[in-house]
Amino acid sequence: MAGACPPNLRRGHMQTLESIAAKMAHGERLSFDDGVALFRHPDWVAVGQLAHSERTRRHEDRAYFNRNMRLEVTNVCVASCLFCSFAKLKEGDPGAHTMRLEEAWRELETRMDDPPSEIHIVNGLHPDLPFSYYEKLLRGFKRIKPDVVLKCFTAVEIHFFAELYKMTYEEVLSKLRAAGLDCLPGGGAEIFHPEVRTRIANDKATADQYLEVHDVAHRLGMKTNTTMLYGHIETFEHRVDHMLRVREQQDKSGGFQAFIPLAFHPDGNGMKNLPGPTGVDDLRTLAVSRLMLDNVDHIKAYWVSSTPKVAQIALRFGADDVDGTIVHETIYHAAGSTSPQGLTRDMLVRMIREAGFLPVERDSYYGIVHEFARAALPEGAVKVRDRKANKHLEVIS
Amino acid sequence: MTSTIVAQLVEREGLLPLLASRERGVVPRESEVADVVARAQILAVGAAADAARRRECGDETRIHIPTAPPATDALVVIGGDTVARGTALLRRIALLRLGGPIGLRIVVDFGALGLEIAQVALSFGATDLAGPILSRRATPEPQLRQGSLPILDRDDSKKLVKRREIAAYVERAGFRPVFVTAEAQSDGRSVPPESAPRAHADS
Repeated sequence: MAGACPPNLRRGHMQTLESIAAKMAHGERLSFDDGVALFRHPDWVAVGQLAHSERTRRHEDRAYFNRNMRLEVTNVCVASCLFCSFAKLKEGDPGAHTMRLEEAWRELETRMDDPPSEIHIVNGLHPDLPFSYYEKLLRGFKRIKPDVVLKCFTAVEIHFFAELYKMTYEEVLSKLRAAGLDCLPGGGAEIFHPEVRTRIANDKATADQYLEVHDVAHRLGMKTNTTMLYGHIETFEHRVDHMLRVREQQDKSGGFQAFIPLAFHPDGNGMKNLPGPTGVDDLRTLAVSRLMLDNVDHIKAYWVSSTPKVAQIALRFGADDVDGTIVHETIYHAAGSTSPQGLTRDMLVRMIREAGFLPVERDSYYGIVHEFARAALPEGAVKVRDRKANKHLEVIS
Repeated sequence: MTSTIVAQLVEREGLLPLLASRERGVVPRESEVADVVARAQILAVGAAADAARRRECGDETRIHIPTAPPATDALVVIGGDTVARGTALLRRIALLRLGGPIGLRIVVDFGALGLEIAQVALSFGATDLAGPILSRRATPEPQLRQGSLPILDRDDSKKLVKRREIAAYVERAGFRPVFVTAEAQSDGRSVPPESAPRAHADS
C-alpha cells in the first residue's frame, strides 16, 4: 500500500521489505536498521503480513489466552513515573489503598466457583510494608488454591525489595519462591534507553537492574515476561533498541516467555498532553516485535491496553496471545483505558474465533489446557445477501 | 501496493481479477466479490481494497465534522448500527470497496466505532471519517474532562479529539487529511483538497 511517509519521521536506511523477508528466509537476524525500517515503512499492512507469516510458522492458527486474575494490593508508591496514573505517594493520600491480607485473599475466595489458574499481582513501591506482608500474601493464596500460579511482582518491585529489605535479588526471589511465587510479570521495563528512561522513570530500577533481576530469575529456573511501554516520548529507534536489549538478554538467560508491547494511555498522568499511540501504531509495534524478537516465543496483544477490537486484529499482525480473562484491572483504567475490566472466557473464545484463529486456553507456561473448536465460518466471515447490481453490498455479520 | 510481498499475497488470494475489473471501470459481480472476499486472508483483502481506494479516490481522507453526511448511492456510512466489529468490520468495509460502485466514498463514524478502528479502516478501503471534534471555541464542561481529553462517558466511542489529533491519526495511517465542515455538507459543496484547510495547521 502506497502512502505518504508521516512527515515527522526521518527517512533513511530504508531497507526494503523484500530484503528483510529474504534475511528472515535465510535465518539471519534482523538488525537495528531493519527494525527502524519496519517502523518507518509506509506499507504497514505489508509489515503485518511479514509478521503474520512468522507468527503462523511458530504457532499455526492457535491464539492463546488464560484464566487469570489481576490484583494490585497497594497503589502506594515512592516512585513518580511520568506515565503512571495509578500510584499514590503515601498512605492517606486521596485514592491511596493498601489491601489487608484478608481482603486480597477474599478476591480469590469469592471466585472459587470458577477459579483463575493464575493470579497476576503488580503493586506500587510501598516504603513501609514489611517483607513478611508479601510472603504471607503468597502463602495465603496457595493455601486457598494450591495449584494456582502466582505471577507476582515486577522486576522493579524485586529491585525495590532488595534495596528496602537489604537483600540480594537472589535472596528476595528465593524467599518469595519459598512462599509460593512461581513466575514474574514483565511490567516495569518501560523504555530501556536512558534518553527516555531518565525522563519518564528516573527513580526506580534502571534498565540494567531490571534485566539483571530477570537474569537472576531465569538462572533460578523461573519463567518471566517482559514489556515495552510505547507511544509517549520515545522514538522508533528507542523502541528497536529496547527490543534488541530484550533479545540480547534472552540469548543469555532464555527465560522470557512473552514480549508484551503496552500502549501508553495519557489520562491522569504527567504526560497527559501527549495523544498516545494510534491503532495503526499498536498493530505495527506488535508486528515489528514479532519480527525482531526471534528468540521469544510469544508476542502478546494485551487487550486492556489496546482494546479488545484492536487485540483481535493484532492476531493478524504477529500476536499469538491476547492475555486473559483478567478480573479487577485498575492500572490501565486509572490511565483512561476504556476497555472493559474483564472479559469472560466465552468472550475471549468468540473474539479469537471471529478473527479466524483457534482459541487455546493455556496455563501460565503455555501448556494447553483446552483447545476450543474452530469457528464454522472463516475469519471475520460475512454473509452477503444478493442485491440488484450496482447497489451497495449488504453484509450480515 | 508498494511491496511485492503484498502484491504476491493479493495475487495468491485470488483478488487480482477484482482489481483488474475495477480498473477497467467494471464493478465485479456481487457473488464473485463476496465469494473471494469471504475466503481470502484479511490482510490480502485489505491490501486489495486499499489499492482500489487509492486508484479510485486518491490518498485524501475527508473528515466530516461533527457528523457523517447523509448516505447516497455514492456514499455509504458505517456507523453505530453496524453489528460487525474488529476483523469482521474491516472485512465488511473491504467488501464495500471491492464490490461497490467505482469511486464509492465509505465513511466510518469514529464517534460511534472508536478512533483506533476507524484509523485502521482507512487501510481497508474506507475514504472518510466522521465524528465530533473538539472545537477551540467549545471547551467542554470541566466535569466531563479527564486528563487532556474530554470524555463524555467511559465509552471510548464518545471521546472527543482535537483536529490535530484526528489529523495525526490519518497521517500516521498514510493518508492526507481534509476537513469538511457541516456548512459545506449542507450546501452540497465538494471540498477540493487544494482549498481545504490542512488539519494540523488549524489547531
